[in-house]
Amino acid sequence: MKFFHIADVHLGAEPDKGYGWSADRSREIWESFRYAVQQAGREHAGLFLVAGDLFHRQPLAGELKEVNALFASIPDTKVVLIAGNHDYIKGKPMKERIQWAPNVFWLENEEMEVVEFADLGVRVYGFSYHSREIREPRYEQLRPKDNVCKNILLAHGGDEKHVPISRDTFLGTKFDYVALGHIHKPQILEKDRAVYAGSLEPLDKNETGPHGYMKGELTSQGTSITFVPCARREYKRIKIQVKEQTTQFSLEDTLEKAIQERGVQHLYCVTLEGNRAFGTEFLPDRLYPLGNVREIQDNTRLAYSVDTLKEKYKGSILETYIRLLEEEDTEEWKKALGYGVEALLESGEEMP
Amino acid sequence: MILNKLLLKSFGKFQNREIVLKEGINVVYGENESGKSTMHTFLRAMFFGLRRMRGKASRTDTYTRYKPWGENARYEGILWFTCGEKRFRLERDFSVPQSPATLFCETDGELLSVADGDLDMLLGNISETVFQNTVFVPQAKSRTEEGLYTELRDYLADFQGTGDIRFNLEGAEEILKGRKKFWEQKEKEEQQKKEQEETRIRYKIQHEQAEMENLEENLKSLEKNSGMLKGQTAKLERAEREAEKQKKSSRRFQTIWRIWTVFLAVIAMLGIGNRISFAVMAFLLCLLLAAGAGLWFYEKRQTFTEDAGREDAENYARIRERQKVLLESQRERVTRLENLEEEYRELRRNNEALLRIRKEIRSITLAMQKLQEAAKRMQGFTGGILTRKMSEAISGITGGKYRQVVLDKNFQIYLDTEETCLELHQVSYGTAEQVYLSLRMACREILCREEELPLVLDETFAMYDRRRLLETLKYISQRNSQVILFSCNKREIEILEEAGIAFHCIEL
Repeated sequence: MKFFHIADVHLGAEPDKGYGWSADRSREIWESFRYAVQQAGREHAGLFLVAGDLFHRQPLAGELKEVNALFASIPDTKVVLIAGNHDYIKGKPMKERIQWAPNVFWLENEEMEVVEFADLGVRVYGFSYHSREIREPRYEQLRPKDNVCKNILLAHGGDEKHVPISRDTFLGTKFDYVALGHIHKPQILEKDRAVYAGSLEPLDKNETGPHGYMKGELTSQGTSITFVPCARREYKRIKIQVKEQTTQFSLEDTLEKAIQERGVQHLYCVTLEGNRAFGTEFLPDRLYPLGNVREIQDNTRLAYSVDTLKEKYKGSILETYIRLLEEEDTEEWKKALGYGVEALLESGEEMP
Repeated sequence: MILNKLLLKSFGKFQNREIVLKEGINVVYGENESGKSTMHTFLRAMFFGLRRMRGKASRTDTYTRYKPWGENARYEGILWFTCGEKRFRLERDFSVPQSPATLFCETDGELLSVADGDLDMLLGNISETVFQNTVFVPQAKSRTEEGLYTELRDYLADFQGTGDIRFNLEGAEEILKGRKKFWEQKEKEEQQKKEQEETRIRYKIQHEQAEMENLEENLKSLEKNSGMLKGQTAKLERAEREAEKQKKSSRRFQTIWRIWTVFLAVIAMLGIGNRISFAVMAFLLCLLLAAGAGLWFYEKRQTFTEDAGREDAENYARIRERQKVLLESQRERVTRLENLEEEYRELRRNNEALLRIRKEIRSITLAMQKLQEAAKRMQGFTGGILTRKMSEAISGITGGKYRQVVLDKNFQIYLDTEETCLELHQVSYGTAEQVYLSLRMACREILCREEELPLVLDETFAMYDRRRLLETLKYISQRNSQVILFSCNKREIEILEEAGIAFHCIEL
């Protein structure tokens, strides 16, 4: 039996609010979701599992209708859903909010429930969030009733405030597959058995790398899982090594080329590293328009080595200053060290 | 730097007076009013020019004092000196404002530019204040001027160690201030952006709330209507049920009535055939009419009540429907409002950008603080150097009688006699003079490191006794490549001769 496993779609989210592409991203999240649903239909998947946080916040009636219509368009695929910490069940039960298509099954109880599909020979277990947080490790050593048919657990969480999960939470628990949600980076907890699908589309600048859904097959031999990337865009990091010869223009050039190489549709966090020459300061405001640049972190330093400086300017205020700031090894002090050293070197007059 | 020759072409009372100087000690001897102080001033004026005072003060300023008499009198001089193996000629015309100078390197045959700082460079880039207070000691003024302290403090603050850069504390602080301002501006912009966004959502929330109130109002009035209608409908329903019951009983009655009417009609027809009496006939017809009217009226009444009932029920159903829609919309609005509130809270909490900016500001503030601290530490450190150098000098000048000078952080000088710390007004005038001279020597070592300048002393030793004078002369002759000593008595010459120290004597 083929199945799809998606999680953390966050319909209704507006990633990177305030940036030019934010509205497009909101739309693309819907498009990706539609694509995944239709793909499940095209591939005749028996099950379509949604491991929580389908919605970014409490869903509105219109959104539910939209989602329902999409599910209705794949009547031969059973859709099983749980609510996560973002779209936790609040107020009226899901089942009463709209008339769900007959192939849609919400496991919306606070307690573990199970839905059995005799035709597929599969049982799906799961419970929904009814609050923003659940601190009890509720997945510890859960066991399926029996192994007469295949057992799938639909689970959401994994961090300290959302049902803590550890590496051995599902060890030896006899589930044929644990479809996990909440952690946005796709990752495998146990090979072919416990897997985070990751967010369908990346939602935050820290969610770098490919995103998509998990496609699996349950056979008598066991379960096999493949990750299918489908996100429209990725967050990518670009590190640019600045040299002493680098100027604002050459930097702009380098960045533009780097973005073109990696694809202009993607979203970029740029880090500048290395040593820049005296009197050079890079203007971030001119780098942002070169692509979908989400962030620029300037970690460049003036071309110097602290130890050389200490030696070269022994007995000077510069040496004293460096020694003072080497007393603490925090980011703040390191930055302060850079600021002071640069100011001293910049304002100093060269002696003949 | 060694001064070789002075030519006072026209300066004070001198006209074309030439004076040749040599390395080592030069004693310029002359009686009072022979022009020693003029010569002394000439030296300084050649290096730094003569500034004119403004207004009343100009009548007695140095410029006026040494200006030769006469309307079109010239006011100029030439100075030859050697610096780093090269011979230079410095000419200056004081009669022109700013007293422009010409600097000519005779060795290279090259004209240098005073405006571009060539002369400053030869002087080791010291200021006039430093010059005046270290190597150039005017009459009865071995006490240093206030300006020296400031310069010394500044200098000591960014005291140079090794390396090829002269650090500039103030400049560095200025740069940091600029950076800080830049980030503070960013912080302000970010704050504003955030506030705008917050306001936008707040407005949305307010709008939703207003809509909610509207909805509630609507719902309330619907509730009232529906309550009323519900009552009416209930009444109607009761009436309907009643009517239904009645209808059932009356249907029987109606049927009887109908049969009765038909019967009457048949009788009447038969009556016409059988020629019954007119009276009976009329009676029968009346009965028939009455029966027909009764039937019609009854049916009419029934339809009417039924219609009215149906209308109310329909109204009620419509209101119920509307109520349902409004409740649905209310639920939707509640969700939307809660989502907005959540978004608002998230936005309030999200200070990522702001925090990053604030981190920069904190780092810059820390840098500024630590720069101050470093400066203070340097001051303490170099204050130590100054004390050490002064102590060395005083020990040399007094032949080891005093060994230790103490400087407090305001540059007040104390003399440590190993028993007690004396302030300078507590020691003899001669001793105080020696302390000041040692301060000059120490400062010179610290401040004039780039070029050793000749030491110029104008009647500095008048208050010294012979022993002191001897020790001091010994000390300075050992420590200086060139000393120019102005004196009005032969004491210095005698002592130098006695001590067997070579010197060059110039008599004015």
